[in-house]
Amino acid sequence: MFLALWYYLRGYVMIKAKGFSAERFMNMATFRGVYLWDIAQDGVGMTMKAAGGSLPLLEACAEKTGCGLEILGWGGLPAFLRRFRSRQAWTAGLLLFALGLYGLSSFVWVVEVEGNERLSTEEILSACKEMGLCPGAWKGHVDTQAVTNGLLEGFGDISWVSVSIKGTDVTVKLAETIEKAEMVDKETPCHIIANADGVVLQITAERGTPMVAAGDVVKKGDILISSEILIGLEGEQQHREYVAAEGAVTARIWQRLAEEMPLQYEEKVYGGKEKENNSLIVAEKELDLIHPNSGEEWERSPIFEKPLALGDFTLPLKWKKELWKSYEMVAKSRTAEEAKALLEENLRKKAENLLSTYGTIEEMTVRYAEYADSVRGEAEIVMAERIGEKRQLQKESIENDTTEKEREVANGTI
Amino acid sequence: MGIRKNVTEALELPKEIMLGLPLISFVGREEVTIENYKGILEYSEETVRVGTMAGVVRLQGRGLCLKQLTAECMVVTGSVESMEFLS
Repeated sequence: MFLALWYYLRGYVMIKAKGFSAERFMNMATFRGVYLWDIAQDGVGMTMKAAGGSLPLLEACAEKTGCGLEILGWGGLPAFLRRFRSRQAWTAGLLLFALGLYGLSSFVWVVEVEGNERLSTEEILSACKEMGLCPGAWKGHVDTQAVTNGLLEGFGDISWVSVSIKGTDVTVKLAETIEKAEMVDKETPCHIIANADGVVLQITAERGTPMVAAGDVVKKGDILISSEILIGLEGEQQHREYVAAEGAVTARIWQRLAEEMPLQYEEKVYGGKEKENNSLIVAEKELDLIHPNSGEEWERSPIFEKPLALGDFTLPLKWKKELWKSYEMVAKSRTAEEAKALLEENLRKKAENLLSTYGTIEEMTVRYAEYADSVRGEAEIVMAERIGEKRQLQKESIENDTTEKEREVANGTI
Repeated sequence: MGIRKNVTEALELPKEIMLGLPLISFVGREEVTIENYKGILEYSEETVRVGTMAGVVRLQGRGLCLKQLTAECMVVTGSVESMEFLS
């Protein structure tokens, strides 16, 4: 194997030995240290290969043994290169190719981010871009250490970063810090206030003083559960303290929603034609060379979009495949009754979207107004909903209060 | 020769080196390696005769080809049908 490679690189000669004493010729040549290989019978003579430099020795052997020696040709790398000596353009092309390959491979083609869970890939990529690491950047200008430090400084959530350049791919591996548990602030004093007008249905105060009772009418901004609590037995000296109020207040609230529905409308009717369309995405630009007839209206839905790669080598190209469905806009009309039914459905959906997880719709009444070409629906919705909202106390007011309180306490003791 | 052989056998030395005997190895029937040969006596696609210290070795087969030929070792490829020791 290595011998064959060695003789290929050094160059070899293909010869033909003719005559009755070809065996003697071979014996003599091998005895003198010439390596012969691929010996095969060819009619009256034998063809064989031998190292190029041993030709004078072979000629001497042939003369001594009385064999006819014929050179069939030269092989190996030197002979291969000799053939290209006259092909200058070809050689130039080879050199240009090598240079092009070297040049193109000294740029970053793909940046990949691994290990991010909460941080989005785009965020990290844009941060990398600011530090000079983006597809198209010259590898010599990419300072991986600086990018690593920059990312660690820029994102508090990252605990470890490794930026590695492998070929034309840059991989940014990172580890995120452990997520901080969302702390329920139990220290900062706050009230619970109403975020809507309504009638209180139920109030449960975990901390703080309830200011309203079931059946009370409240306005937006009213304090429902106060931060202030009185400590001390009744009749004795009491003093005030401020806590973070906590509790749930459910109230009946009213909401008005309106929607209009035209009687004449247009609807998409699919023509039944379905075509798959392939396009190439180069540097964020879509290259759609062959696509269905643009005279018709087409609805596009993506099938897939994947980057093209040669083995492990990712190219900066993406292949996008879409399904195109032809459609036409057809004018249609509906009766007022149909429009009303649709309106009620839409309004109910809208109202449900407004509700929180605890809310329910108690009642919904819709009034309709019919016009020449449309129907207008106005809904009045009664909902049971939590209306509590935390509002921090103004710091100064607490301080004023406390100083007042202290003064009171001081007066009391005097 | 007798003493040499006895000593080699007694000391369990490799015979192909001590006695100059050929070492012939087959890979299936498509490749035969003959080491320690003396010279080629005849070569054609059907017959190869090789002189060795153990006598003349004759390989018969079809499409025989000398793949490698050096002073110590030769490799014959093709489809070998038989090998005989002549004389």
